[in-house]
Amino acid sequence: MKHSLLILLFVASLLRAGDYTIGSGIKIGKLPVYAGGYITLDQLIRNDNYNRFRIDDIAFITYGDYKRFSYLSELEVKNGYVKEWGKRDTTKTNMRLNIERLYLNYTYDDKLEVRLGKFNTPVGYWNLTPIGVLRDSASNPYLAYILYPRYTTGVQISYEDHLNNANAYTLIIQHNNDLDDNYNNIIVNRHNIIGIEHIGEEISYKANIGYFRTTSNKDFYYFLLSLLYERETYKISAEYGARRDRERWSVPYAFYMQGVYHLAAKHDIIGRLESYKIDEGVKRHENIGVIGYTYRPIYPMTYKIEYQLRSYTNESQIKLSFSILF
Amino acid sequence: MRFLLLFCFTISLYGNEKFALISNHNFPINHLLEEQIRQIYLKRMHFIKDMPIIPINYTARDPLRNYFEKSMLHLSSQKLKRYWMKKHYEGKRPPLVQSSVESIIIFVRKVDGAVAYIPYSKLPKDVKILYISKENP
Repeated sequence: MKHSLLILLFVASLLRAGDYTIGSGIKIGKLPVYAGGYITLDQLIRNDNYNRFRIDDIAFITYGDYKRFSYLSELEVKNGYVKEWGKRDTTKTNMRLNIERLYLNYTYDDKLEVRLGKFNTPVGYWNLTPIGVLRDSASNPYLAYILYPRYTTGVQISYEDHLNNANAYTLIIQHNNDLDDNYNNIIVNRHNIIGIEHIGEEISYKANIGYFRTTSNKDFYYFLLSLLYERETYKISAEYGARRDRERWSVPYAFYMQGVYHLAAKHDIIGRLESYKIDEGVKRHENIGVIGYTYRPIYPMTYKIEYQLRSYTNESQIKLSFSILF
Repeated sequence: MRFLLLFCFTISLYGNEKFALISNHNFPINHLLEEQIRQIYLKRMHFIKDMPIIPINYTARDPLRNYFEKSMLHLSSQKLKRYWMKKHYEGKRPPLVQSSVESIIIFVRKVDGAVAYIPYSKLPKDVKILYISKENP
């Protein structure tokens, strides 16, 4: 909790700084270094009488650049405070500061960039903006948790010719342990990915294939196809993928399609359809429908509410969240 | 009512004025294409012939900035806000901001690689003109 308080104090000091604009970070002294972060709170009210309030994320970001080099670090307290009631009655606090991202970039030229460290696995579109304040809905689709490790610790080589070609190519190689094993959905020591993306003014799409090995020496292969279509008043995103081990498809499919309609300035409505099947461990096969509303009094601040109607009806739930980027 | 008319007049005077993109004479090329300017102001293009490029902008509510962003970047202010918030999360900064045409011209004269757009009517003589916008309807 001590770390959370320090970060909250930092936020308070930012808000008092004279030339500070919320959501844009602040320059630290005369160094080419900036600091910012985000906070997310959420509450669940589930059909089976499970209720939960939590301080989901308190994250502190610093970044900077010098000539062709740049760096970013993100340290986060996850589930800093969790209170459950109804079906369970517990209160937990967590003070651990996790390394969510920590990397160094080298920009060779405007086309080629090399990244070394721990970063968001750049597959699909959802996983690149996984934080509450940047995404439109209160929740993540299941696909984002079950197909691939959400973070990779390794080398990323990206090539994109912004001027002459709308395609981008990515190669990622991890051949080592995670920088922080406690902060990833799947703990791996190998993770290789190739990706190709077409980037358009309104429509972009991407294909990724990947391989990873868990620290318990199990090999998995996956693919993900993604689409993003954005107009002034609405946005549609969709992803479809699957994962297999050496014998069978352990996740035969996972899919979501989400639409966001900008109802008016500051007000969005969101609808999402999801489906997935897991054929390993505790097997699950589920369809989910999500409807939600997001209010942004200012852009870097969101209040969200959504209802998730699920195949496992006792898990249908209302989710409320508040998030802010600073 | 008088205030509103004055405001509209000011917007039309400075907001839609023809502008020029300038640098100092050490800039490595003599002309920039519209798409290059777009990539520079979205911070996707960082170098020209190994020289780091430093785009300069006006403050958020400046009418010329709003006009420039719509006509050259083809993005609404909402989309740009979303873009720069995402970039902040990715560790990237928007262009530097100066509050007046005069301070921008001083900055461009002094700093190699700095580029900025200024009203065509305020073009100084000792700078390189990289791009001139079309006449406005």
